[in-house]
Amino acid sequence: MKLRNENFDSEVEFVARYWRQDAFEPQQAMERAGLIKPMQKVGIRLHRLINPGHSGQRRIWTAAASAGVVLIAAAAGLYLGLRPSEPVVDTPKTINETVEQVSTQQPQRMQVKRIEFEDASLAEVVAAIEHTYDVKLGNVPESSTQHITMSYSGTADDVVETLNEIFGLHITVEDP
Amino acid sequence: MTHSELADCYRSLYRPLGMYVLKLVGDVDEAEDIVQEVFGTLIDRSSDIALATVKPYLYRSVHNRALNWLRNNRGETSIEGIEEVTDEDIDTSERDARLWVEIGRLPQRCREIFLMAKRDGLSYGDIAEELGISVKTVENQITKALARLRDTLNSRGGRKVFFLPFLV
Repeated sequence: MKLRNENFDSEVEFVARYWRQDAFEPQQAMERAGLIKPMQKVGIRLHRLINPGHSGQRRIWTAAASAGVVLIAAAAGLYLGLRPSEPVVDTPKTINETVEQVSTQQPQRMQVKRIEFEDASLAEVVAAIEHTYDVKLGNVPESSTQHITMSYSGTADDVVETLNEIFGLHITVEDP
Repeated sequence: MTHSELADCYRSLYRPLGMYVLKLVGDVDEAEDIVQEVFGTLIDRSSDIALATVKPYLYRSVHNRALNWLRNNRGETSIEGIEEVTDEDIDTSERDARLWVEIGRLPQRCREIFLMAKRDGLSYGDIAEELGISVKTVENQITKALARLRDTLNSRGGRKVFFLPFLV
């Protein structure tokens, strides 16, 4: 136990000594390498959390971009250590309904839920995440022109981590 | 290797490789440059490299480049103890990468206090005075940070392992 603690302490000391925001970010590295385009230029938008009956028209390119984001975001939501104890009910009724995990023993932050946005501003996305998962998000940029279209299934940390990776943000999840 | 496999390599290996090189060269920018160069080579040679061999290939490549950098920039002609990459080195780099991510996820205030203590070397009293808070608050925030970091390392294999398609 002592040796393990010493390893932990030394690893934390090492990482903390050099830690810097925006360093060693795979997404940015891929953009620098030209492997992917910056997400803003691809025109990815997150679906607005809309009321039932909204009759907005879908554009083909929005659907294609949204499908790409869904694949990336949904795959990132699969964590070995955070699998839900009971199966997620996977039958959404309307586009903007969240599907809650059957088990209610976990705090909402840790529950796997589906959340969808269409052309939502970052502020709207943040508000929706806070409401859906009963969390408080910190380090949110005050001014952002990004609009987001996404359908995502995961925990609060999963959603925020995906947003951070895609848009180069550093939003944090805090308990309310 | 396909384009998506390259992207997966970036997502799963870029940061651990960075941690490994950082431990050798002791400079974030240099470490990132080395890793970026090696990934550039990987992209150029992606058709020649099988996915199953990419991880050892990348670690060997960054290791060699880091040693070259040490020889050229620090005049280190005798580099003992780091002749090759070991499995333990790889495991350590992956743990360090998870710690790096988790520090970024700490609540802003908590991270600020934690880094003032661990990175800047300030005492709890100095931190409390600079931020206008109590020493007890500083202790609590650092304890909270360390608990989260410990949980990160104790969780099974990290948060993301596979990327699987999800049908909406």
